[in-house]
Amino acid sequence: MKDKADKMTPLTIRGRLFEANASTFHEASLQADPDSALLVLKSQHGEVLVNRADCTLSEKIGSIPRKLTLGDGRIFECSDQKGLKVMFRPLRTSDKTLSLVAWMEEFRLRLIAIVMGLGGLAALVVVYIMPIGFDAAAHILPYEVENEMARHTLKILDKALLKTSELPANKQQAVSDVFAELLDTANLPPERYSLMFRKGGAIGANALALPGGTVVITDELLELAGSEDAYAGVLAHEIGHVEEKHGTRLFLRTLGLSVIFMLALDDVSGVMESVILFPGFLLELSYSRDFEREADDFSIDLMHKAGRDPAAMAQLLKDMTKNCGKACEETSFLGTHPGLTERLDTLSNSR
Amino acid sequence: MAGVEVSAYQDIRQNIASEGAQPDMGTRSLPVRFDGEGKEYFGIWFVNLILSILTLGVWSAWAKVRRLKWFYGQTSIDGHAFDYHAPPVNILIGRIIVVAVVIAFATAEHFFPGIGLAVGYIVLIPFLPWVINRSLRFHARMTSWRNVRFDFKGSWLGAFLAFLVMPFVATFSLGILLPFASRFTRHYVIRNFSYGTNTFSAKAPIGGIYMALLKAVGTFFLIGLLLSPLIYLVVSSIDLTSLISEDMVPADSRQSLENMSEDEKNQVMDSIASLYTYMLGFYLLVPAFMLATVVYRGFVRNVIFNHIMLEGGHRFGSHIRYWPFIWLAISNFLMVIFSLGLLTPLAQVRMQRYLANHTGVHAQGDLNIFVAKSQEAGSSFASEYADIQGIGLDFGI
Repeated sequence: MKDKADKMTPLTIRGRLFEANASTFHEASLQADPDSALLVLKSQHGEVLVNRADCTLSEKIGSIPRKLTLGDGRIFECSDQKGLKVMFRPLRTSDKTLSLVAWMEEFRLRLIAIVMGLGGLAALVVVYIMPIGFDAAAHILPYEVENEMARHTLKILDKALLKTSELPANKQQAVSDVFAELLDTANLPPERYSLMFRKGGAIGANALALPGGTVVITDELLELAGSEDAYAGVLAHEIGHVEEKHGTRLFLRTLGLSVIFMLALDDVSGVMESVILFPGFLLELSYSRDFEREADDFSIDLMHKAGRDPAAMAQLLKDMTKNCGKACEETSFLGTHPGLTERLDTLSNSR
Repeated sequence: MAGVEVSAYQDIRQNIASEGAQPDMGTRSLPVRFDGEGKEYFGIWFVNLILSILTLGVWSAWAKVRRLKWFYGQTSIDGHAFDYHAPPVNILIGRIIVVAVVIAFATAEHFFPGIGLAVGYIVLIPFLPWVINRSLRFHARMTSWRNVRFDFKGSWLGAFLAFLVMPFVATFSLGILLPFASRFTRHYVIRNFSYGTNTFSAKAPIGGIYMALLKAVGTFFLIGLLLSPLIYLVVSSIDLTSLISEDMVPADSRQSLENMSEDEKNQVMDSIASLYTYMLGFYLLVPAFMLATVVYRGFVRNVIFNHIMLEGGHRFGSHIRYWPFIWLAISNFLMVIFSLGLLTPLAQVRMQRYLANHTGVHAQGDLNIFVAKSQEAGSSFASEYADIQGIGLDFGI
């Protein structure tokens, strides 16, 4: 504890005085009178008075030497952290902020609390707040732009994965009619949507929604569907993906997350990046599962409005995943869709 | 007063230079130290990482400056520390531009797969040498030792050869010409660097770099040999067939699968399982390759540093030792993996300390004579682009 006597003596800190932009230096000391705005700079050249207001002090970062830049460009370098702290209290907001950060960085017990507190806040921002921003951006993007971009995606899919549909024309017409009926019930402009028939090939029984309104349904899925309501449910689910702009939202959220991690982890080498990026990857998968749930809910809602049975899709889902076994039943944190059990529950509760 | 002293020293220096041969003021080996402690950096690293994420990346500019100021400030030659002077706002603006470019690339790639990236790179390639040069220049001018700043002055052709052509040369010669590529790139950077008004020069013998390559290849085989019993154990004992389900077979092939007999089906499953097992074995060799890379860069550093000179007769050195260095790299790697990244700051500090302890600076004469060139800082965009795209442009290793 400092007693009154200590407080009266002017504080002195020692350091090196450098000429402006040269490597020449001299040992020097800086003395402060607590009541005065002036400092006394003493070196082998003698004593000189320095105005505090003319000086800029570099920030504290751990125990690195700090530099006081004097008005004439000379630099007083000092490692006396305690002395500097007393002599130069931060005045501007930017200095106070940096001072606060330096305080937080100190390796003390409170660091645990600070890391957990800030870390929790950061997690909240990334998981909940950031998606809101990107979703808003996705909703601003007009359908026409999404459609244009999706056209090229479809071209690639057609080249690499999908094959021409072998569904007979009358069956295609029947499915298209159901699709049109669903759009009508949902009050959606039919010109914005297009239904494409394809043979799934490697992806088998499946349905895809591309941003902008293109829905692709495979022959295999239509073959597997036990009733009209079964595949109507699937169509409604895909319409849900388009309406809620899930494709674009997932793309933007993923991109946003990658950018933030790229900026925050610029000092981390390749292998470490993969380790630290893993939680980000898990987060993206959870976004995907949330979107699938949203699409399921949209489908149930639309099916009800259209007077159809939402639960008819249940058997179709079971048939599509019959070879998957245990892995598909539970909702896993590595899955892009919620587990079968959960989806069947949602469907059966929709009655 | 100050002005008179500086110009007096300039006169002395000019006199010495005009006399030709340097009067022997003696060569002194200056102590190079890294005084940073892992625990001090831990708080800095962690708090800045979280703040960067919390601010959606904005704070990352300040985080970078703080990180470099700390590492530079804890590294000293002859009792004088380095310093980093970049204004965080400049770094932020540079990063915003980089993010815009990255987003443009990602969007092009996502919606026009294949074409997007190709077009992007074709457009980008003429700019890259310019970007790299500006990045090196900005970084150099923001770095100082004993109050005098560095500088870099490159050429488009030099950067084009060093950073775009040389990697090709190294790859297409299957590594045989790698030493030439490594030396060319490092010499390009060093010979264009200056400290104050003094320029650096470099003249490393190619034989030394081939020795480094030999050590690296030897390391790869050594580790591979040590790991092979483990790999064999893994490959022969694990049975992935239980994890393989028919779902992993492409849907259209599944039809033909159902038409096969039980025996034939098992054969197909077995061959898929063994394919995955061999892939797993291959992945276990990746650490061996990574370690070989670290060894290579370390020993190349030795050769290069031992043949760097700074105008005025100053020389440098590096004496990284094989076994301690390998142990450092392996222990750092394990430490980071098993702590799920939490001990990254400690690993960085350990490496920096080892490198500093094995770096030599042999100064000739009076070190008071260094004087800064007058210079403007230049924009930091290029520096940020190189930094984020992982174009490692460190002088160290």
